[in-house]
Amino acid sequence: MDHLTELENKSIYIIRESYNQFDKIAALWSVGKDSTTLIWLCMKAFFGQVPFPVVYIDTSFHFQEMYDFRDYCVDRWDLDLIVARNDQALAAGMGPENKLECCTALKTQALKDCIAQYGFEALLLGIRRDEHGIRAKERYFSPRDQKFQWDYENQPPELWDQYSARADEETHIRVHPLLHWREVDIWRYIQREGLEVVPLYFAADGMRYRSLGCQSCCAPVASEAATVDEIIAEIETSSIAERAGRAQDKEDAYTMQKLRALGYM
Amino acid sequence: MIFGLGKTKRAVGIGLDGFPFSLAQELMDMGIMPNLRRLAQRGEMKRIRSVFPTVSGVAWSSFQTGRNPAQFGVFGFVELTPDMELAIPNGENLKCETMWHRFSDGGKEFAALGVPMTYPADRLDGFVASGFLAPSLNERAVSSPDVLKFLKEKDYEIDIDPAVAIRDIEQFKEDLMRVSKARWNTALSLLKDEERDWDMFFLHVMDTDRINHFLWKGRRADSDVEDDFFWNFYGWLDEQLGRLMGVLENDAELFICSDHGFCELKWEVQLNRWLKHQGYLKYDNDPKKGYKAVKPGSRALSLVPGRIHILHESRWDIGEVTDKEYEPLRKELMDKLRAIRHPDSDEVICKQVMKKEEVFEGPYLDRAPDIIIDPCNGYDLKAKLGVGHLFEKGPRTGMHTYEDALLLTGARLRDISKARNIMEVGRFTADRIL
Amino acid sequence: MQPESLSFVLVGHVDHGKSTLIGRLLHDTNSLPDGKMEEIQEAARAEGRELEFGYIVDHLREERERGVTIDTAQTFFSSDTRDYVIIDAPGHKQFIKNMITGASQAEAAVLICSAAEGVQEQTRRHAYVIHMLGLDQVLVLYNKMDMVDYSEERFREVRRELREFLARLGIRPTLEVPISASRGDNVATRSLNMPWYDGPTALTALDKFRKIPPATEKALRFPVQDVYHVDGVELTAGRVESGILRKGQTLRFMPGGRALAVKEIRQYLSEGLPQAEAGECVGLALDGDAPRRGRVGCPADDAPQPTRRFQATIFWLSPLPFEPDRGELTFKCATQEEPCRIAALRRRIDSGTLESLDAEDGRLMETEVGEVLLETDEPVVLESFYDVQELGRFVLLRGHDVVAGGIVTHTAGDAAPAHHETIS
Repeated sequence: MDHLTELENKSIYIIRESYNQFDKIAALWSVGKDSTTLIWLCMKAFFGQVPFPVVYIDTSFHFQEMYDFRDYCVDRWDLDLIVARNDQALAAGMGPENKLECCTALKTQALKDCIAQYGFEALLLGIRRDEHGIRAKERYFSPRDQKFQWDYENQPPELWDQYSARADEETHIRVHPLLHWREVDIWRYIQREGLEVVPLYFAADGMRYRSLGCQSCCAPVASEAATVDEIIAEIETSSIAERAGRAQDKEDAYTMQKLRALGYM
Repeated sequence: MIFGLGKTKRAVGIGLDGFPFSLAQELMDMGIMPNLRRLAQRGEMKRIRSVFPTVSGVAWSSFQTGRNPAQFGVFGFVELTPDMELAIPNGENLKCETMWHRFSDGGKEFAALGVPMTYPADRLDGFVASGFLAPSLNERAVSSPDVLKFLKEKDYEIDIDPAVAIRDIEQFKEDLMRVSKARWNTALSLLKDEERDWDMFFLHVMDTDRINHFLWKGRRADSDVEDDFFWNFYGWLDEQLGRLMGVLENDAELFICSDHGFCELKWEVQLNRWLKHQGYLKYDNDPKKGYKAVKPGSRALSLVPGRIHILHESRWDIGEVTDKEYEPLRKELMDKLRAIRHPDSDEVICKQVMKKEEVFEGPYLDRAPDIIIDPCNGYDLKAKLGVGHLFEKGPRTGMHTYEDALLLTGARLRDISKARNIMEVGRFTADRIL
Repeated sequence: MQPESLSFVLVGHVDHGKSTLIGRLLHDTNSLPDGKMEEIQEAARAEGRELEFGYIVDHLREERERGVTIDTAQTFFSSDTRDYVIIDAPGHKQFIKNMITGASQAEAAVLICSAAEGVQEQTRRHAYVIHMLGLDQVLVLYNKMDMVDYSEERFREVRRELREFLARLGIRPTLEVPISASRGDNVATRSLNMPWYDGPTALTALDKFRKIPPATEKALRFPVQDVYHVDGVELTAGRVESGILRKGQTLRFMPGGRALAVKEIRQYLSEGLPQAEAGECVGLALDGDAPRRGRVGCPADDAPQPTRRFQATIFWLSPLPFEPDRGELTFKCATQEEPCRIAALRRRIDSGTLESLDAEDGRLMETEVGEVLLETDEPVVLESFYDVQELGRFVLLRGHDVVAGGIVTHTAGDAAPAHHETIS
């Protein structure tokens, strides 16, 4: 069995386990490459239908290409789409000009409200271990409390394919079927499956987007990769650190570390 | 010195860093601190205020000098030079004498164990061991080699490494207990030493501030499980007070004070991002550059906690704000700061927004931040640059408060008991001893 | 062409050099992002310390705490032949839960042991976990050879001690390499300091790990995961855990024993598959009502005897001890789930020393191992862990919490199971 097939089967097994264990479940879909791969894996797990809603958090400031792609997929895959939008905040004028409060109001709050409204016990998310440091500690089934907090030091053990699945009333479970995938695996899988993605991922005029969101908060990166093959080649050959390093004080790094730990600087 | 004969004017002080008056009451009511209760009943316990900006470095500098920050010239744990270099002031940067200098000159027998902002320690005629921000227990952290030798024998350590609390909370607890035990053992053996006859003995305990930051009332940033360690620690601390009472001939000469209060931290508020968003601050998103990332055209920036500097052309290399623009800009900023609210709770963030001249008085007023903010409980004012949110969650669950510091004075210390803030505690103490 | 990827768990006593080894591997295989090494060197210089390789990991870990990119709990690097995932297991005792979680996802194990300090408690405890999880590919690295003057004698001495312990567990190391992770000896490049050693470097030794092939050679086992209705067809969904499932074959779903023919094997967009192999998730159209979740499809002519009593070794994971009179446990193996109890605790073992402990009161504490007789309410389909891992490993739940992991050592409950069955 090749590597991608192995990844795929593991994900499908997890998706089916979560669907078996929770009545009220939904998948979070940003229309980005990862969560679109997730939806596709759900399609495969359930033989061509996604038997639960997919939630799209709409800040109303996304790229038009994302809305177009969303509607195209909903139509094509016959998805039960829930649009989570914080209309109240939008009516009150919340928007990118309030950039700092904007995400909390339009994303976090919108999702909270949506979970409360539909009573979801579990959400499928397309996160990967390699995308973000702290996610290395994630489990496939990860409880979140009402405040969305994650007690990562005190997680249940997860042995073999036995997932601790029950949520108390106060919590919902986040299920991460793509946890073991890497960015390059996603692109290789998109290539193998012939999946379509939002065209913004492909280079135009020497720029492309590596991740998608609100127009105001996304910046393209310099790239000539205009096809999936070229993106794979780009990821394989470059190992660009996603973030520049921290400032180092010349005098006393230890002191700085202490002050930093205490939040004094 | 009317009563200069003998040691009738002595005092033993314990500085419990960031130990709030309200928490003391709560702990006494819960029965966790019976010894503290006894002391409070025999003497007087009251709420006092801290200083602005409310951090230990400034507060203990006020205590040691009896002056306000515009007189000793330090306004926080970090300062910026005109060319945006970070500077970390320490004891040598204080512009006034401390009570320790005065005791030394006055021939008093004194000990100052672990007081922040005393590094590097001067070669005073007394027992001085520097506290917070002394990088390690070395020759420069003590008043004499004998002191160093004594402390090493006692396994004394300056402070825990607070970064451990973020990495490994269990290790943090272990470190805290180890350091605190050695601290109390050292202090008590000095007090028991019959060779010495102290005029003034002062022990500063950093450990209370540390536990309040990371485990405030048992709350951890990464877990909802309440951690009993917090309450157990204070129970243990009370036992140390009990030991201390056993050692002292007369606890009527004992005072306990804290330099600021504490409350639950709900959000860290990144004021520089607010300034950037409002168009007052421009910077590159390059954490390597530190404050050098600030770009020309900026008009204001913030330092922790709640210090706003207006980038006046006369003070800052890249400053462009003219005299004429200064007041209107300051007023505009102050109005806008007062209007910041948290989007979920709709709570106001800034309780008091003050001009520097309303808060400080002294020759170094021009170095002071132009605006001082006293935040509402729960909103800790931070100053990160870079990309991120205005409201963030950090690894800490407790934050400093201005209002809720503590002063407990034994029956013989009426002169000190009049103090209304940590600065006056220091001033009145020095006056008493000298 | 996608390169092969192999995951291994890195275990060993705290301070025996796990971080240093990871740092060294990342560095020597050029697996750090561009500019990262310079940045780390700069940071080390600023802090006035020599660049130690463990510092790379500390540095990355610190970044992780601040929510920045690269993770260390799972670290990726590549050799010339394939990609690796290192699953880093913290050496502290309290992290045994995380260590087991990590190790259960690994295909091989690297056990690191300081030649200076020798075999320590966690060395042994981790070895036990490796053994219990059935990881039979184990590379042992004897680290800190520079601190023992690259002494062959010392290497042999520590190796003898560890080999003895491993032998008691039935572990035969795939390879054993003396290294110095901090100096780089025998990690990615051959050391000139140990002319007496002529084996492979650690990196070459890793390349000798085999990918574990799916259990296609074993008897067919197909636990039912769920039943779906798709376009009017009832599809029995599950993953082939072992063996090969063929279209037209008759399966007996145990326990219960209904025999049903496989009319069709489906995956989405691949209907009418001729067969499905171990590891594949499929849906089956059967010629009868779909069996329910937890039933295990087996070849009709070669179905195992379901059992209610069996022997197992369990590793207690919960800080709350097992007490015989405290509550019911739930047994979970593949998709089977049954209430169960520990009918007898035959041996209680300290996983750090392998010594037997007093089992009189029937209690098991965290990190202790029990050889037990388990009894489920209804029969379940099991295999000895040594025959078919997929149906020989299980977890025990108390309430909703996983409190133990275990392996089936004998599917029969007693020394003479046949007699027992006939008598009852």
